[in-house]
Amino acid sequence: MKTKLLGMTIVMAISFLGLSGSALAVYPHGSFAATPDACAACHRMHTATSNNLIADPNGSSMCDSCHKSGVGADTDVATGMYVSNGEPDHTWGTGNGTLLGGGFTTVQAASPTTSMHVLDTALTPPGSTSGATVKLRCIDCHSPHPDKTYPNQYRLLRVKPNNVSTARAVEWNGPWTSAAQTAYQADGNRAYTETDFVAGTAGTQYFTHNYKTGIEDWCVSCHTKYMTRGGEFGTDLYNAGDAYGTSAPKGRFRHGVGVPLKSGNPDQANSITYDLVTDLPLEDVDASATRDYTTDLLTCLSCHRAHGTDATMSGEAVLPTRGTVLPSGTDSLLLRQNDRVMCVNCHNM
Amino acid sequence: MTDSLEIQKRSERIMRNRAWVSGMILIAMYLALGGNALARYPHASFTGHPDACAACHRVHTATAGNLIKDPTGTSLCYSCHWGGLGADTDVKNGQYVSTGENENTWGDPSMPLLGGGFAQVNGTSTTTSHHVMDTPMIPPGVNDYQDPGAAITLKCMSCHSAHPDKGYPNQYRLLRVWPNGIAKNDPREVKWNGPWDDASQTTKDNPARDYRAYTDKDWNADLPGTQVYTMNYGDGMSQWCVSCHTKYLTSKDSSPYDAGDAYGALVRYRHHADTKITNLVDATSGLGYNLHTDLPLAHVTDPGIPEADRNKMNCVTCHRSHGTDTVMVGSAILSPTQRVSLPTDSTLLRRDNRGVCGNCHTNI
Repeated sequence: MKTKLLGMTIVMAISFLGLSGSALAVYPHGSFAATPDACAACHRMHTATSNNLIADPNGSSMCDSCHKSGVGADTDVATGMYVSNGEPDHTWGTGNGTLLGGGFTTVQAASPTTSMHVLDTALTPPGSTSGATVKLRCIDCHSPHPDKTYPNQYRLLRVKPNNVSTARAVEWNGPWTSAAQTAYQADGNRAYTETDFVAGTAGTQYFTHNYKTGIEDWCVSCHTKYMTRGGEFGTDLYNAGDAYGTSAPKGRFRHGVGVPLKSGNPDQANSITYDLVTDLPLEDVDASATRDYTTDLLTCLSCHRAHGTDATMSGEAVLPTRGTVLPSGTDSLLLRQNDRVMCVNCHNM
Repeated sequence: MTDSLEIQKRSERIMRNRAWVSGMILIAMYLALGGNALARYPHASFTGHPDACAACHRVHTATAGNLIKDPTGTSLCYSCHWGGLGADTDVKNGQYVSTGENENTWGDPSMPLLGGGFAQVNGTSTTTSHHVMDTPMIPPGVNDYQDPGAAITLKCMSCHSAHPDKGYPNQYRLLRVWPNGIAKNDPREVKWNGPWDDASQTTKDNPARDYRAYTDKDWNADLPGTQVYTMNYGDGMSQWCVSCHTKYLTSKDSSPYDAGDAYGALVRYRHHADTKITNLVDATSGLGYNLHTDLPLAHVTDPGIPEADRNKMNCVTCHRSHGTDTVMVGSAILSPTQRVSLPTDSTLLRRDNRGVCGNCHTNI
């Protein structure tokens, strides 16, 4: 018994040190030790105000209690900045760097967002087949605890968002470099932040290869039509809310996602073969941590931020008002870069 | 005459033998039940030692109802249950002590009482929360929470009866069958399972069952899987607790309720109690659970219930009934402004922070 206890104590101590001390004590989403305090950050056993014994009646404000203004988590999703609160920030991200997903009010605590996934307001997602409104909260996209079947789900994304029937797995590649998840990536492949992501300057950004595959399948849980390449055969008649669909739904065509940028044939309709390169984030299918344009795949997050962007649109990039649709209905459409810089980041014409 | 004398002598011899046998039986019982314990036990079985009545009662000079001699029920109880002055169960210091009881049958000496203590736990650690005595306070979860009239001034005898109720002779810990003045047609029975192993209650504490009557065992370790749980009682513990904490068995309120926190009057949700933790499917969420724990569970002995369904978590699975020395840090510290009644921050929880959560929900 004493030997077992000693062994368990040593294992716990190693785990504690491996997870960088204080991080273990405050991380509320999983890997609780025997005496966790973090349960009480979100749950009340006898006075919860919503299902799953959640303390706060408003799911978003509860998340803000840690993920806003640096009061808890290093990932300040309100200001879109990675802050330093005692987490090992140079392992998980660059201190004061821009979060990959941007922010809901600002990006890098400086530029106000010009579009974001609007929370707590009933809106229709662009590309929705049903046209049904969705009232987004943080926990509509993120699960507070890992799914047991998908313990490595990227960013704790819900495995079945928007009540879809099939699982939408998005496997996280890092930021660790070993199976034991104790050695971390060096600069250039951070978990949460961009590095030198200078908006508007093609060729100076660093890409990430955080995830393997499945982002686009996950996003179309709400934006259901956006994986459909073309409606040239009249099978995808759809009113997109623009000037072209007011009289009657039109067949719509879409950019490919889940496709490689090189040596493939992503546009089967036109039989055009591409040989492109980019600095934008791609899916690292083989988890090689190196850029391979024959296997890495373009995905929704290659062009769009998940939370909010400060990109600005001018000239032709300014779209007319699109009505009550997600994201906010403003012009920048959660795009990562000003105007349409993402287009030329690949299509360097 | 000779025959008459012989008959008288024979009768006297028989009487002497009977008296001898009776005396031997009494001595044997005395020794088997722990020596002087038999003489001191004041709660029942007074035959042959009714001096115990005077431990608590005065027939002509009582200072309280039921002819209680002490004006404060708490100090009367402490006269035995504190400092090893009488009972082995020192409820003030939260420790099982050795005062002549056969301690290795009823509990491990110098170990924490399962219920903890009102001033200390295991005689050294100071409590961080306890059921507050002799002070009017509002129990969390009471129906009319904001009604000042609902405050309760707890005494030991608010929860415990001094003598067993005749209708419920096997009531766990002499808990009152009708606490907090609840209706007579709604008795709160909590049947004690042990520590005896047989129906005659003479063979006690089979070590193979690995639980004791009054004490934690190896409960100091912080690692799951090292504690020994108890299954002292059957169904009914949670029903008993909600005699005061009336809402705490309701999974979802039917109407808004101000819990005294920052959120005001809202419908509140609660963790299930009186439920098995294995092979369980939550009716609301459809989630399946198959958990295990080292924490104390109720053990229903009804043979009509499948063995797998007999162990149930309840209020005292997570909470000590008297007081705890657990400490809270970080998120586990509740804002004092969020609590307007007893207890304080550690909320009588058995383990530091929210260790009770992680003891079952280990895979989160």
